[in-house]
Amino acid sequence: MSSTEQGTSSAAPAEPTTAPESAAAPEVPESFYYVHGKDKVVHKVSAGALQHSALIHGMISNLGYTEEQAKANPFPFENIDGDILQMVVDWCNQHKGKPTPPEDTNLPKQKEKLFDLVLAVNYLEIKELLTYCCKQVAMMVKGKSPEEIREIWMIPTDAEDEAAEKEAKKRAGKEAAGETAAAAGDAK
Amino acid sequence: MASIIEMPELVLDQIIEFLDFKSVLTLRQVCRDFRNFIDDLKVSKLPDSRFTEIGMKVDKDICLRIEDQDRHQYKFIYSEIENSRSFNGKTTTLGNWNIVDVAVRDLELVLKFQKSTLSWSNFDLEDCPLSKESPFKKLNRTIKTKNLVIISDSQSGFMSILPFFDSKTLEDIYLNPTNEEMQIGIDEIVKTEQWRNAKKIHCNFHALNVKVEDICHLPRVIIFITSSKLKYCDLRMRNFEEKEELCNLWGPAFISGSSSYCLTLRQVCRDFRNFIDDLKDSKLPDAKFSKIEIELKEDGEKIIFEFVGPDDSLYRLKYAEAGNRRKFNGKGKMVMNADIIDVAIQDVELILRFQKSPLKRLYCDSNAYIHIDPSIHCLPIKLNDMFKMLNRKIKTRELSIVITNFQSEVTIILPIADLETLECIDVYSYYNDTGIEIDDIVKTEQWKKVKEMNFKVPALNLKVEDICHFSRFNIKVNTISAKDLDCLKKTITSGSSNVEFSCLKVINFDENEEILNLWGPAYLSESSSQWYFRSKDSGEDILVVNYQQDRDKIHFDVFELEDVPNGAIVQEYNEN
Repeated sequence: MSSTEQGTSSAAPAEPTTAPESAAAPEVPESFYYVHGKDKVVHKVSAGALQHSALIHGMISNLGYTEEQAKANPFPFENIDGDILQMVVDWCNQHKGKPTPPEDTNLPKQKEKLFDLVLAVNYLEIKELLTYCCKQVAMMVKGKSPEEIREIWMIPTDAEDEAAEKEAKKRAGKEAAGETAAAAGDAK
Repeated sequence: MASIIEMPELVLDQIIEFLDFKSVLTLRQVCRDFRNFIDDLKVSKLPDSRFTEIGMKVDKDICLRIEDQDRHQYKFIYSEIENSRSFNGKTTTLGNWNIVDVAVRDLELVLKFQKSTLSWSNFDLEDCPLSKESPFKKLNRTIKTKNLVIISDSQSGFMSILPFFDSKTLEDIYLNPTNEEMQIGIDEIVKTEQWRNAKKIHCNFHALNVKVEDICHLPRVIIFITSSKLKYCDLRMRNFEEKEELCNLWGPAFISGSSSYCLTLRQVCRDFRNFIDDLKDSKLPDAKFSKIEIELKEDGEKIIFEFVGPDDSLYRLKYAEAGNRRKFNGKGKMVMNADIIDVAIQDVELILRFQKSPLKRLYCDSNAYIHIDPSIHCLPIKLNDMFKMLNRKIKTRELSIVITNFQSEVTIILPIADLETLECIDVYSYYNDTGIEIDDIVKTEQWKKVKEMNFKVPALNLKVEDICHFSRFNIKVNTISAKDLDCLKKTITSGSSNVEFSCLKVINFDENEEILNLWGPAYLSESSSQWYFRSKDSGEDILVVNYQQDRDKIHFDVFELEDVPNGAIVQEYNEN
């Protein structure tokens, strides 16, 4: 949504830019890279915003792409859902070149989204955002009973889990396919 | 959609860092994956549970009680009959598990989260079926606690848990028997690091085979000794009630031994302390101090006692208000809630019990009064009260008092000196030039009795008749009239006083004319004027009054007739 807003602050990333990055962008104006998730929707993100992600930063710092090359080769993150990637990109843009605040209230409240976000952020190695997310996850269960936690985090009891596993094994024995067994466990 | 279980370990680590220990324990119950994960976590990653107290009672059932800093209690009960654990009103059957193992494992788990030091740990093993083996054998953790209470009926009972405590944090150990009459050996207990590092140990049973060296290191120890096998500073006795027998055995030791040994003994245990404190003073050895100094200071160490032994050895006791500490021979010690003044008074009382021979000198310096808070004032008052209550006096030949501004500082100390022994009184001040009234001081028995008086603070309104009885005096006054001087001269020459060599320091003497009128012209020698008087019945003895103008001093001295310089007139004794 806000992926095209970066144009407003072109001078900002000049400060945090490090040596290899200025090599990647010989022109004074900001360099941009392109990422897409499972849904193949391409997001244009400034190098300054991408610095938050240690993974991407590591990838681009040695590439030396030109604008055209970058546009032609978007980074594919097939393991990240499109909406989750959107969230990550938004967060990186919002916090581009800024000291990160101690609290971040803009994180998704829905747990399904949050868990996916955690996985994505962990994969992309965005340290601060991961900290906020972990805190958010921890807060979900603070002061709750084990039953409540199971419900909140959708975790089966050991008994259920065992039963599911047994069933899965049975089925696996019948169908001789481990993949389907895991799916059955998930469905439970 | 992602599930929490699929989170990478690093992420879970981070999530757990945001949780308090209660939530972590709850999380542990959610599912076995979490349980395994948490149990495998490094201790440094876990939150501190900050418990203050852990209690465990082991009999047929086991009860584990934990209290946190908000005084919330958590109770686990493990029932042998039902083979179950109940916690928070919930009961779980333990199946094939042994309740002891489960309880110990739970304790271990609780301790895993306990990083801060507990203030109390109580382990009641009263009915613990120890015939088997130590229930804590499988405990794989040290417990950090300040105070430890163990109740057991045997050394092996105490030993089953004692080694699990961190000896660096452990301060006070209470070993309680199930029955006070019990006799329990402590030969293994004394070997533990916990015993050796503890600051205070209470063995509330009759300890067998106590060796003095095992208890010497403890600043405080309470042990009931039933029998003991010692040589040299050893004792052999069945029972402490046999006081008479003990007296016979120990009598010679008390008399020939030094008082410091007796005092050391007194620290060994409660029974010795009571025994020594109950002894008649006549049975106690003489400390033979030659000098005692009491000093009140305005800085850190408020009260200082110094005792000089017969061989010039110096013992120094210091009491500091900051931290409520007493320091003796460089060893500091908290006096807990007691007022340092009270502690100081008690110590003096104790030490003076051993002081039988008279002191050469008692020195009381309260010169710091002027700068410090009034609380310290009560030391001399309490000292005085103590002596009054004990009906005891300090035997000292010389009494020195350093004062600031009040004669009460002198009158409060004077009465503690024994009249029979007291020979000399010194009163000084470092700052006082204006002088103090002495009307109350001259009324004391001590003033009237002593032969020598050194009064270096200007004495206000001094009456000549109050100083006539001294053989020697050295008194400072602001001024004196010629009439008073004449009166003093008359008292001396009439023989009702036997002044030997004395001196009045007169700061402003302005009755030169009058004295010349009274005594006639003086014999002049260098800067002094001298008059010679014959006394009533003393034949050759001549009173010399020597006024040294440049030093503001009037000396009174007795010369032989032949020592009177040529040219000096010796005035005959004249009744009027």
